[in-house]
Amino acid sequence: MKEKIDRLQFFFMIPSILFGKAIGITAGVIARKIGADVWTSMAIGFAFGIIIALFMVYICSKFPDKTMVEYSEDIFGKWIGKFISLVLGVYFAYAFAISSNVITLHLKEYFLTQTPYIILCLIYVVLCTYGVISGVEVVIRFSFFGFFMLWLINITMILGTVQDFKFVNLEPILDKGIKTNIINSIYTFSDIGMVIMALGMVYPMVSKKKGLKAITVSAMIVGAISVLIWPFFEVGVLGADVMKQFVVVCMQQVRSAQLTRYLPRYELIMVTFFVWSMFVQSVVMFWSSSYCFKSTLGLKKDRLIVLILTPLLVLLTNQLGKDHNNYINFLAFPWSQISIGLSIVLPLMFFMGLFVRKSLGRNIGNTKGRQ
Amino acid sequence: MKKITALALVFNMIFLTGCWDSREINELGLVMAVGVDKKKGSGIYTVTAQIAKPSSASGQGGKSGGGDQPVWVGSAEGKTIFEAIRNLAKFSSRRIMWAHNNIIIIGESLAEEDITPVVDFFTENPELRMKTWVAIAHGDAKPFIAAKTGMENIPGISMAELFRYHQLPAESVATDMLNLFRDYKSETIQPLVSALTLKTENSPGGSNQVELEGAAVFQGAKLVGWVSPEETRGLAWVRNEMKNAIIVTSGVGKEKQNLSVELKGARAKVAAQVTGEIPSITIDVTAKGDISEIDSPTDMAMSELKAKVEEESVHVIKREIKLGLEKVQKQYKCDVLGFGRAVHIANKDLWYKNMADKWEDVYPQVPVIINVSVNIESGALFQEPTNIEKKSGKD
Repeated sequence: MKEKIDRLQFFFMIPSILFGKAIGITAGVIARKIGADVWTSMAIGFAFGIIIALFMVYICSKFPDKTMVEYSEDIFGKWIGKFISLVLGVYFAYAFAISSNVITLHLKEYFLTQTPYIILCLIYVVLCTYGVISGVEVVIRFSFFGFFMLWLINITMILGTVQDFKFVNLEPILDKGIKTNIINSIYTFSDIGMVIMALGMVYPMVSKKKGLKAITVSAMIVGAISVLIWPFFEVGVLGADVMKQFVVVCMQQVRSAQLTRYLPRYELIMVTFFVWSMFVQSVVMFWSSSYCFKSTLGLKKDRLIVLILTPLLVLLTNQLGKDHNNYINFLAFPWSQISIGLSIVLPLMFFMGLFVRKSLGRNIGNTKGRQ
Repeated sequence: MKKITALALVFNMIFLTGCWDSREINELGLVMAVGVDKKKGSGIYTVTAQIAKPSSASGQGGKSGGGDQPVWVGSAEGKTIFEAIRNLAKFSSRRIMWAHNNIIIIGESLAEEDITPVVDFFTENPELRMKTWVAIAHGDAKPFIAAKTGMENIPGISMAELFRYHQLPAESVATDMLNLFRDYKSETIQPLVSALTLKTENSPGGSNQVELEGAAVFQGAKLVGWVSPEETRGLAWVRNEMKNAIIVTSGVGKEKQNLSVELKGARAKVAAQVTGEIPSITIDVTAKGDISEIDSPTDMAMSELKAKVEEESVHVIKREIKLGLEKVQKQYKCDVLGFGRAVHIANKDLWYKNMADKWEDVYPQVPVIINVSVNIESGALFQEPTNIEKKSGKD
C-alpha cells in the first residue's frame, strides 16, 4: 500500500472514528431503550468492543501488507472474497451515509433549518470526496487535531453544564439490571463496528506495526472514555427522560450549557470542535467503501470509483436522513444488529479460515498486498 | 484534478453563503420576554412578546429620540402558540427571533389547564436556550410582559436579573426551561416553578413592579396551587436551592434578640428507608453560617451566642421545611421534593413491583424525619458580639 501513516496517527484515528455519532445519536438510541443506564450499557459495549478490536488487529497482523478485502480473497478464494468485499462496500457506504447524517442533522436541526436537506448532503459529500481524492492518509494524519478538538468539546461541555449536573439523575446505577444493560450494549456497535471494520482496511497503511495491538487497545480505551463522558453528563444534566425525547442528544446537552453568562450559547462552538473528528470518520468510511467496490469490480482507477460513488452517496445520505425519525429507527434496527454481526462474524470467519488453511498446510500470510 | 477542485470550491462558494437561512440583524425583532395566556375553556392562546428596539434600548436615543420606549410589546392570538406567534407578524415590522429571550411567563389559567404546549413549543424551538427562565404568573402573563419593571432599560432583562439574584431573599426558586422540562418529564418528581406577582407598593409613585416570590406547584402538567415565600424556603432547603440564604432567628438569649444569620454551603440529602408497606424519608440538612446582624447589645460571649444561634437556626429551618412539606405533601399531594425518586434509589425492585403505580396514594402517608445541623463559624467581622461598654450617667 502506497499510503502511509505512523502509529501515532493510527492511535488518534480510533477515537476520532468512535466519537462523533456515539455521543449524541447512539446515546439517544440507548436512552430510549434503558433510560439512565445508557452510560453503563455503553461502557459494557465498549468493553466487548475493545476485545473484538484487539482480535481484528490480531487477524490483520497475519497479513500486515493487505487490507481485509485482499486477505478475504486469499483465505476464501476469489468469489467468496469478492462477495465479502461487496458486502463491506455496501456496509461502508451506509456507514458513510450514517456518519454524514450526523453532521447534516446537526446543521439542519439547529442552524440551517430553512436550507433544503439535499443541499447540506451535497456539500458535505463533495467535501468528503475532496478528502478521499486528496488521500485518506492525509485526512487520518490530522486525526490528532480532531482528537484535540474533541477533548476541547468535552472540557467545555463539562464546564458549561457542571452546575446543572445532578448525580441523583444517574441513580440507581444499573437500574434495569445487568442483563438488560448487556443486551442493549449492542447499539454501541453501530460505532464500534465502524472502528473494527476500519482497522481491517487501514492496518496495512501503518508504516511500523510493532506494538499495534497495545496501541489499538489504549486508543479504544481513550476513545471509550471520551465518549462515555457524554452519556454520563447527559443523564446527569438532562435526565434520561429528556434524553429520550431528542434526536441529537449531544446538541440538546450543549443547548443546556452555559459557559458563563457572557457566553450563553454554545452550539456552534460545539459543532466547530467536533466536525473535525467526524470528517475523519466520514472520509475513512468513504475511502473504505470505494476501496471495496474497486476490488469487487476489478477497477484500477481510484478516482473513477470515487466519482461514481459521490452522487450515489449524496442520494443515500439524503434518503437516510431526510426523515430523522426513520434515520434513528434505522440505527436502532437493523443497523446496530448488522454492525455487531459483521464486527464479530467477519474476524471470526477470517480466524477460522486461517486455522483451516493452516491445518491444511497452506501458507497464505505475509504476501504482498495489491497496492 | 485542479479543475475539479476549483469547480468544487466555486460550487461550495455558491451554496455555502447560507442564502436559505440568511437573516439580517436589522430585520430581526429580538424577543426579551414572552408571555403565554389561555382563558379557561377557550381554545385560543394569547402570546405577548416584549421586543427590544435597538436604537432606544442602547440608551442613546438615536434617530427615534430619547423619549422612545426601549421595547415594543405586541400581542397576538392563535389556536396554537406557533400560530399566535406567526400572527404577530401581521403587525410586527421585524421577524421574531427567540435566541435572546430572557424569560417565558405562563399565565395562571393556562398553567391550571396544561403547560404541555408551552414546554413542547419552546423546547422544540432550536433558537431558544434551555437556560431561559420560566415563571408562572399570578393572573395573566400579559401585564407582566407590558410592565415597566426594574432598573434596566429592558424590563425583560430586569426580570431575568431577579432570577439571578433570587438567592438573596431566597423566597422563590429559579426555574429554567431545562429544570422544568426535566421535572415535567420525570416519573419520580413533580415540577416546582418560580412564581411572579405584580406589586405597586415596592415602587412608591411608580409603575407596577414584577416580584419573584413563592412558587407554583404542579402535578404533572397542571398547576395545582401556590406556596408562600416561607413555604418555598422550606421546599428550597430540601431541593438544594438555598445556597446563600439569610435566616432571621428571634428570641435568642435572655434579651430575646433578633439576629440575621447568613448561611453558606447549605446541603440537603433526601434518603428513603424501605422496610414495611410505607417507606419513610429522612431529610438531612447541613449548613454553615455567619452572624451578620444583631438587633440589640448582648452580654453573651461569642461562643455562647454561637451555640444559641445554632440551636435557634435549626428550629427556624425545621419549621420552614415542615411548613413547605405540609403544603405539598398533605394539601397538594405533589411530590416536588423527589421522595419517589429516593424510594426508587433505595429499593428499585420494590419501586417497580409495588410502588411506582400507586405512588400518588402512598406519598401523602410517607413519614418524614427532618435532621438539621447548623454550624455558625464566626460573627462576621466581630471578635465579640455587639455590647455596650460605656457606663450610664448614674454609674
